[in-house]
Amino acid sequence: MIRRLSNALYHWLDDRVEISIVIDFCHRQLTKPVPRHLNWLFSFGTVTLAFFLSQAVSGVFLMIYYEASADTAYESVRYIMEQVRFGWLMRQVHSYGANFMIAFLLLHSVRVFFYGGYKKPRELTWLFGFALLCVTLAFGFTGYLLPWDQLSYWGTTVGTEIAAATPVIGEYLLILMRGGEIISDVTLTRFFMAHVVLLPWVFIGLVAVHLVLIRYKGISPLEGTDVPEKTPEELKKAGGKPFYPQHVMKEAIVVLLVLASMIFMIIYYPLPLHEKADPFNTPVGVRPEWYFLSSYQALKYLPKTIGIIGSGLVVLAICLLPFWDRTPARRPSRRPVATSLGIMFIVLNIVLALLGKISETEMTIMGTRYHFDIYGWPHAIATVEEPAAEPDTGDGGTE
Amino acid sequence: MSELTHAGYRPGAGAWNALSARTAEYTARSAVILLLLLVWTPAGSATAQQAVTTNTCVSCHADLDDEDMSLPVAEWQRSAHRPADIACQDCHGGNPASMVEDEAHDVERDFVGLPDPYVVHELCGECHQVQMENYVPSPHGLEGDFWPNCVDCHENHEVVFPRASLISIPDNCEDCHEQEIMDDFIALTDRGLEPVNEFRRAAEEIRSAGVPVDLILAQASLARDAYIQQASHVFVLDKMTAVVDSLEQVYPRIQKEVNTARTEVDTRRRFGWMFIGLFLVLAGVIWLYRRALPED
Repeated sequence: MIRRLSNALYHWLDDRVEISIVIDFCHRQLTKPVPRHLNWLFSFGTVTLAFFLSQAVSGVFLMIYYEASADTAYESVRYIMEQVRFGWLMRQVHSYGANFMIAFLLLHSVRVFFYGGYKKPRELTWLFGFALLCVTLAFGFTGYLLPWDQLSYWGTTVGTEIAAATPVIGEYLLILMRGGEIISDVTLTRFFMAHVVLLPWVFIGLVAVHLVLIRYKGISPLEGTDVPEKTPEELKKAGGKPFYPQHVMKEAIVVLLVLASMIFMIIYYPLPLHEKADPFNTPVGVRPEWYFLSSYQALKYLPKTIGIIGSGLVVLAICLLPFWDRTPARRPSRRPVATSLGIMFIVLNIVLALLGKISETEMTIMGTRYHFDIYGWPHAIATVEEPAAEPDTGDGGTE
Repeated sequence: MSELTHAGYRPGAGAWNALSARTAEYTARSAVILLLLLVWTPAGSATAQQAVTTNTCVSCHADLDDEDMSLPVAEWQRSAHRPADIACQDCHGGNPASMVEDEAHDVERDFVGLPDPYVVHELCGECHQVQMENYVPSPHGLEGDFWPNCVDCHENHEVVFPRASLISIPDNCEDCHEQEIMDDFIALTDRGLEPVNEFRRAAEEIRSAGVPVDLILAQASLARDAYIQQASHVFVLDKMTAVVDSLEQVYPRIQKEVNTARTEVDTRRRFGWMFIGLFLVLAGVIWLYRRALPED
């Protein structure tokens, strides 16, 4: 019965808009074989895309109640979290989703790097992927301000100040981003516009091209660029499996597991909404979000201009990677220099991010209280003999 | 050869030139839009950062070799006063905006190196008025001795919220008081305020899950205010006991609110586990289905 109905619908549509062309095209693409070496790490790109969709859905729900004004933004987010039915879930899914999306996009980039997926003839795929990374970071940066709490306000202040240190155009960049000299109502509306209108369309456009390029050139093989790539028939003979259902199912499993872990984080470690933004009260230890922490920390060790130019050059080098790394080998084991450099770069970023995380904090290690300065170096300040965190006796208030 | 067709699009020189011309036009338009964005920037944005003054006391004293002069800066930076913007000049006077020593230490601007111990409570009382009003007629303030004064219990630069450990410091209390009295005092303070602190901690934890806790916080604040106004700094056990007894009548009601909010958090967790279970089952089913697929 259902089959008869769907057949009738198919023929009805095909007579009018030749839907069979689209269906045949999709079928060919879905059954196209993928190389045997596709393991679970090759699912990270799809996980990122799944999170983009989740962000779009939760974002639409949040927009129903969110008010992009310095006076009411914070209250509207609090209202969403505390009064709207399932508002807490939507806000947490959106906040955690942003972090997961960026994390998996970075993991996806790392995977592509180590598997040499950026090499000829996939330079354009890499460039569009790099643009997607930039847009995703811009999503994170603009969305971070929207709750208008102390952390987001001062985190954005620090972030925009970094941009202001760019030689020549820094000051204009700062004014363009902030809409004035300080973070204000004007900044909030700009960031909101970029976050919900500009960036989503740019992202959709870029992701469409990225996906088309991936399907057009196929998944990168492990053989070097000097070996002719296999045709679909050769891939099939060499043990390649169809993209659907084998690989799609693998990706679906990873997406579901990651979603389950996000829900676990949401219910046990919900991301809090801090105090409302107060431009006159700078909290101690202001720092940007984790994905900007390593570059933020690196800038502390270098003179401002050199740091900014250096960071810019590193970003440019990553962007243009396929054009200066023209060695034919793709397997990580056959590229010891690139692999070592890649590992060193990742370790360096993790160390810098950790230093950024502990800088301007205090910690008790082996009975000694340490203060970590802005560079992350520890200074012993006291020997702790008893627990420091006793409840206050209530006399701290001012009356 | 890829199956994704792109036949039919072979831009020749003419097409390329047209595309270039359009790109140039769009670039020009983008530049105009960017310029307009800059022009639209409101001219009179207030600069909040300008309101944050530079404190020269801190910048100069932090670098002094004499530890007696530099240590207070580090201590103050760890204090409860720093986040509240209470700085050196609020107790020592002087001009914190001048880099010139004589101007910074100008006696005409009420500079005092070491505040008189007999007026310390008045200095602190400018903000902590209720505590001062309770302290002055208390046994500690009676007869104009003012000993111990505020800084004996709360420190001078590293001003901290008083803690049970401070109350029992031998140098501070046990010169005059027997240990038994001290134990009673600490127990009474704990009875009065520990539940309030616990309610506040629970409320902050629950709030992060998105459950409203304004009522709990308001009730906890009322209880805390009642303690501060009627018991804190009175230093008479009978008076304190009466206040704490009356507060203990209120605490079960606040606890009930906390329990209700916690139940809501638990409900949400169960709801979350339902989703986690659903996702895991789905993943398991797909995995089994995938394994059952034929090799080719």
